Amino acid sequence: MLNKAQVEEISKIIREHIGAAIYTLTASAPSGVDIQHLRDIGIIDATVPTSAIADAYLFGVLTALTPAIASAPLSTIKDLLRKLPLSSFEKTSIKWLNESAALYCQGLGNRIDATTMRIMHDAEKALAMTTSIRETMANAAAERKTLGEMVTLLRRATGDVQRDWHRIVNTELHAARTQGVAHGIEKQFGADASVIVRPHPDCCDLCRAAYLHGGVPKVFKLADLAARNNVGRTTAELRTAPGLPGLHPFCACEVSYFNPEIHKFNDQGQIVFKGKG
Amino acid sequence: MPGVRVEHNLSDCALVEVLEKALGEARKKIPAPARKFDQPVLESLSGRVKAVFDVQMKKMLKRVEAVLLD
Repeated sequence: MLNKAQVEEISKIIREHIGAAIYTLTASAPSGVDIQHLRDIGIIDATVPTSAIADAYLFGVLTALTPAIASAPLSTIKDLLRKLPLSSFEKTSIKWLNESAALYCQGLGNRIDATTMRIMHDAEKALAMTTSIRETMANAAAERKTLGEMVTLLRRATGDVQRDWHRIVNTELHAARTQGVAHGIEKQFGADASVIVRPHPDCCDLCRAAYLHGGVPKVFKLADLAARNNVGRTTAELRTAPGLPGLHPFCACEVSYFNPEIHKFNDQGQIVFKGKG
Repeated sequence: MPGVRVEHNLSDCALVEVLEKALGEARKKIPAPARKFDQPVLESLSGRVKAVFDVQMKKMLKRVEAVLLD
């Protein structure tokens, strides 16, 4: 039904569009994707994007240094983000975060490719069965029907992928910002600084158990949190010794500086200055 | 909560099973609430990147369909 050239063409199309999406997120082309070619065939325009991941990271660094900036809109601090002088440590962090996000997206691209191939393979099988069982249906008509079904299945599969992509974007942007905040705190107060993680108001049980104790935030050493990776660890391990947020996809918990000499928690678990509240 | 009267000829177990299945199906159709970032900067970045990806997916699908239906 589909020849080898068509299958290869479809695979190439998927690679090109996922490559274009990764380029927008990280401002760097994944290996095997020629950005100039994508421009030439009109998949992306001539503008060079800035890495959204780098912007999120630098925004995190800035919010650690100047908390008031957290509520500013992007338009007002865009120039500031782009002109920040970066240390080699920050450059390396951005590179690592970009690569990490690109890996997740590439995984998604591979999944689209695999799903598409599976749909095509199943359709070929279904067509072969149909034509051998129901001789009344002309081959061409049966093939048209199968191709139509394939398109429907592909559309459905793409919808699933879109949801996953949105999850990856949100999770990776939040992770980049959290890394930025952690590096900002480290810059100001050193790696041994104390920090707390404020769970999002609608956080899950895992985050509550990992970052709170009896409704009051646990106090961590920044270096300890930063040294631990959340990926590939059991829930029990995360509860007792979590890393920096996010603990899971869509996690929105936030790391904050805490100075035990001047800060304490009130009855509601909020940070107040000692001698007050 | 208002009560619901269901007329059926199923046994209790079968009814529970049917209702659970129907509820499960109904829940699947409820879209998950889109989580927003508290910070406008992240919300803008996320919106921009997601919009670009959605456009890429549409273009990709169109090209793939063209190859399939050619």
